[in-house]
Amino acid sequence: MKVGVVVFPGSNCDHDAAHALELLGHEPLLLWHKETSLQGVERILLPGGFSYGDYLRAGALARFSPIMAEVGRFADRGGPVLGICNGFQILCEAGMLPGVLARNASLRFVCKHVHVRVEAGESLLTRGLRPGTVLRLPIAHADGNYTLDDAGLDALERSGQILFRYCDEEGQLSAGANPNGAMRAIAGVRSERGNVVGLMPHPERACEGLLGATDGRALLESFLS
Amino acid sequence: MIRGAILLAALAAAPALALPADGAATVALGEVTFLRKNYLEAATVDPPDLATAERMPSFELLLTPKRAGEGLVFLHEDGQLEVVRLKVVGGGRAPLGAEGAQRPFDLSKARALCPHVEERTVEGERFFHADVPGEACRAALLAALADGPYDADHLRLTFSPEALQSQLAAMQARLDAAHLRGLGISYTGATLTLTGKVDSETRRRALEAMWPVTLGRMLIDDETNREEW
Repeated sequence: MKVGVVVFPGSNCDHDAAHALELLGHEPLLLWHKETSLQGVERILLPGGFSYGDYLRAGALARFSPIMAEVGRFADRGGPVLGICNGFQILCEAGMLPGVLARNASLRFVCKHVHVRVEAGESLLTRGLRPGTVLRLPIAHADGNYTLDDAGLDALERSGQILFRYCDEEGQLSAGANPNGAMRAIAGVRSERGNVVGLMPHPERACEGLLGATDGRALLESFLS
Repeated sequence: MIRGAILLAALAAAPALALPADGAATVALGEVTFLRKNYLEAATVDPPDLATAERMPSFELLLTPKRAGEGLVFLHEDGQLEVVRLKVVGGGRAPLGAEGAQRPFDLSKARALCPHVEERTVEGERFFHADVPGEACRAALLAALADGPYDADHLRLTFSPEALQSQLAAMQARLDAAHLRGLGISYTGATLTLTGKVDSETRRRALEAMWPVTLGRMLIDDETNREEW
């Protein structure tokens, strides 16, 4: 399958994502952000990094890149779109996913492995995973504090749009297991329609034993299935 | 007509130290629920084995049920007490937030003992007005409002001085029973004034102890630990 990986100025996980896609037997196609054609890709992945140096706000400038209009049209037609870390921030800033990613509650950049609990199975990212499954994935961000008003959060809960929450190794939510202050410990969400998904952890960095974690593989396999 | 001066207590946005609860939440075992609290100082669950309450870095309170049952969550925020009725159900997904929490009061006894009791719903909002001339009416209303969760934003109770003094005696009895010393309570108009030298933990426990016997929302004037002029 041909998968578009969008490269913004400041993206730094584009090649990691391409490597993971190849590892899983697919054909990554790097798409420069000034492109206005998606070149027939069947999936789009917005990778992590610091697009536009995170100026103004993480993802706030990248949403205006020329390719984002095409990404929006692709999603409107039901095309599957995945945003990882900065890609998640961009999708939120573009209004393709609900909420925003604010500065971490600690005001520090956080880089470590965390645990997340699958909240909703059978989504674009969680096919074959049972709710309650605990995954170990790496994070690396300064702005991962998922923020939304109470009514919006309640709506996400009702419609099963929360895909992942930060948790401890046992799957329990706690203050200590929440690395960035995200509301309701949210680590990843999907759009109302379900074809746009985003998460702060990096599944593409957790696809090989050599990298110390393999739980990301199931998520990418789900996205690519 | 109520004898003597009429004191109006408990208005919509006033801080709560009394029945009914400020809100209600239902959560299933295996699920969690979050309450947004920006200035939370402390939270306790009664009974403690019903659920755990943990402050999150997101300014939310995480409630994790431990067993099925009903209880209260006492939230201390900015010196005031807020109370949420918590119901933990055995299985399945519980309704979110306060959904399904509102249910009618049984006001039959209160109507017989109080001269004016009025409950109505206007454009989806519930209003509750009552006159409280004495202890019999106060006790009847207390029992009615204690029955089940109720988020009464539009609550107006008009107390006679005698009814307020009965209430004060009931609160004092609760403080004595809990061996909470050092906190003085009195009414200034319909405002409850707290005096004395107490630490914050004792003050919190005192508010929690008084809550179940206190009717209607009221203002609290906190004069504790304040030097005399």
